[in-house]
Amino acid sequence: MSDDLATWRQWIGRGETREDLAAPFPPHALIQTFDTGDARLKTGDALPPLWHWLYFLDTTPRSKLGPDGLPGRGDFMPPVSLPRRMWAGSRFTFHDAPLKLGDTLRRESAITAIEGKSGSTGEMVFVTVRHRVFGAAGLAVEEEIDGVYREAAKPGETQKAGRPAPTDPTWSKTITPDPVLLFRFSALTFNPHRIHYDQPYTTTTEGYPGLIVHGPLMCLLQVELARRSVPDRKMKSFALRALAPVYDRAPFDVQARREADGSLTTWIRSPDGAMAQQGKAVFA
Amino acid sequence: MTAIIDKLEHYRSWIGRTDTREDLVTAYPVRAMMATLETGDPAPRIGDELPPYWHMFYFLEAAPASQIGPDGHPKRGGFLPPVDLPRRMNAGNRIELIQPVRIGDTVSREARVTDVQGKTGGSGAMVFVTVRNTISGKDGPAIVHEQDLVYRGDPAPDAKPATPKPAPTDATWSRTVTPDPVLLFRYSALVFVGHRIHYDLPYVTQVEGYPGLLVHGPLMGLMQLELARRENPGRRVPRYEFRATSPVYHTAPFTVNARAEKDGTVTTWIANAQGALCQQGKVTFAT
Repeated sequence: MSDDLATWRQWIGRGETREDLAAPFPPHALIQTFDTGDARLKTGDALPPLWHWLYFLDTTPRSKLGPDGLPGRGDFMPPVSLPRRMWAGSRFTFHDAPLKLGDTLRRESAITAIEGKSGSTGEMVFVTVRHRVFGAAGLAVEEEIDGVYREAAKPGETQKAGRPAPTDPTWSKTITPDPVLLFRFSALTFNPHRIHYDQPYTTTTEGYPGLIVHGPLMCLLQVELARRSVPDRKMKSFALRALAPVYDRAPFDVQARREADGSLTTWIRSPDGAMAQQGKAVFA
Repeated sequence: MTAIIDKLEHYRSWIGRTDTREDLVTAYPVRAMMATLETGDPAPRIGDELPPYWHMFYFLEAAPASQIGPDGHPKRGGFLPPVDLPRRMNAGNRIELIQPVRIGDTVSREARVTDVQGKTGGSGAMVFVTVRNTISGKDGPAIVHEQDLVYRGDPAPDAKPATPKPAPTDATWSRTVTPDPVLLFRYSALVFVGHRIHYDLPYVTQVEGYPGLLVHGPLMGLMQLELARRENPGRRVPRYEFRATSPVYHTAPFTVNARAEKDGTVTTWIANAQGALCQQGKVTFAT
């Protein structure tokens, strides 16, 4: 794989730029999906942190989607030959220039790192993409997204037990990840990845026990809990590590703890008590 | 069965109810649907005309999660009468295109319940609700779309499904579509319809008792019009109508067909893998 890795690493530095309009329907639909009772956003209202994920959606032609439903590789993303792709972590910086509903948005993206690694489940390749998102007031969000490509599941492969989640949250919210919630989040991000809605494919072909809850959905739920828990403070940054998948089989908990330095530690507690994601929110 | 007919007077009190909303005709759904159908069209821009019947990607519903029923659909009531029959189908569509709607336009839509009728037939009680949607831009009404919704009971366990009649075999133009779960997901996403019969196979087979995921009726309606107008480039479509008569499942390919008629119209239809007629439409071109 080291030869392949050298080839894939030639993708480092590749970039693309997309423009989009911050249209009103997607934030309305996300509010309804989370069912928070928030008022509908109006033109000129600031988008909450991470809600720019509702824009710049990928519209790859159907014939260029792979068997997993995701866009084929080799165009913007490197042609990594490992079949399973998941989200590993992210780092976000929110600048003092919020994106507003009705703005024309621009996103500049570049591949900044490609690394290979051998783990207990075989070869892995990590690809980091950096996005810079601009609204009418200038640079609003910088984000780095780490994706991991892994080998196919081996027969009998089991997920190793994760480290237990903390038991001292200051705030906690239980989420029931039914197929309709997962569908709606996939729809709002126009994410055709079959592991989020196609149960026979997910269990039979990919070997998972159930539909997979989107890593970005769990990340967004932590950011939502954090900003709602300290509503008078502006979030400056958020960092996240994805540690284990969560399936649609049972409710999970979104939790946050206030730290002495004013930051919030956040995490996702799996139904078995393990920590599936861990995040840290820093406020101005 | 008679209970439904007793409620008909109550349902008929919905006649005349309206629901009005505004929306912005953004480029994104057009671009995404072009990619989904692989039309090969250039990326849509502000000022481009919205293709006929593509207004379905605007004025979308997003019910709060707590108002979603176990089937993934919003619970009934509100603008439409609360018909107490489990199965609902969009059976008929008549679309008149009066003047263009363009990307970038702010448009309004008034939906009005224009008729409610009941009937008891061999397959039990049925209720028909007609809704007229009028979409207007700054120069007045642009699109009038009438929909017939049919509500019916679950079939009796021993009921044999009606045998659909065979589709015509003399298509002028025909194409085969393989309705895989990714196609159905993308269409559901673009109309923000969370109805589980289109993506949740365990639900659709075990709870609803269908043999596979259901292909969306409006998607097949759109595919017929797309075939007809792409085979007749440069001709305006002032009117399109289609009727759905039988469901299509994702388990086998289906065909989209169109036949040029002597009077200049184009008859369209969907045939399933067994050659049965599942939808039929008629495209009128401007002379």
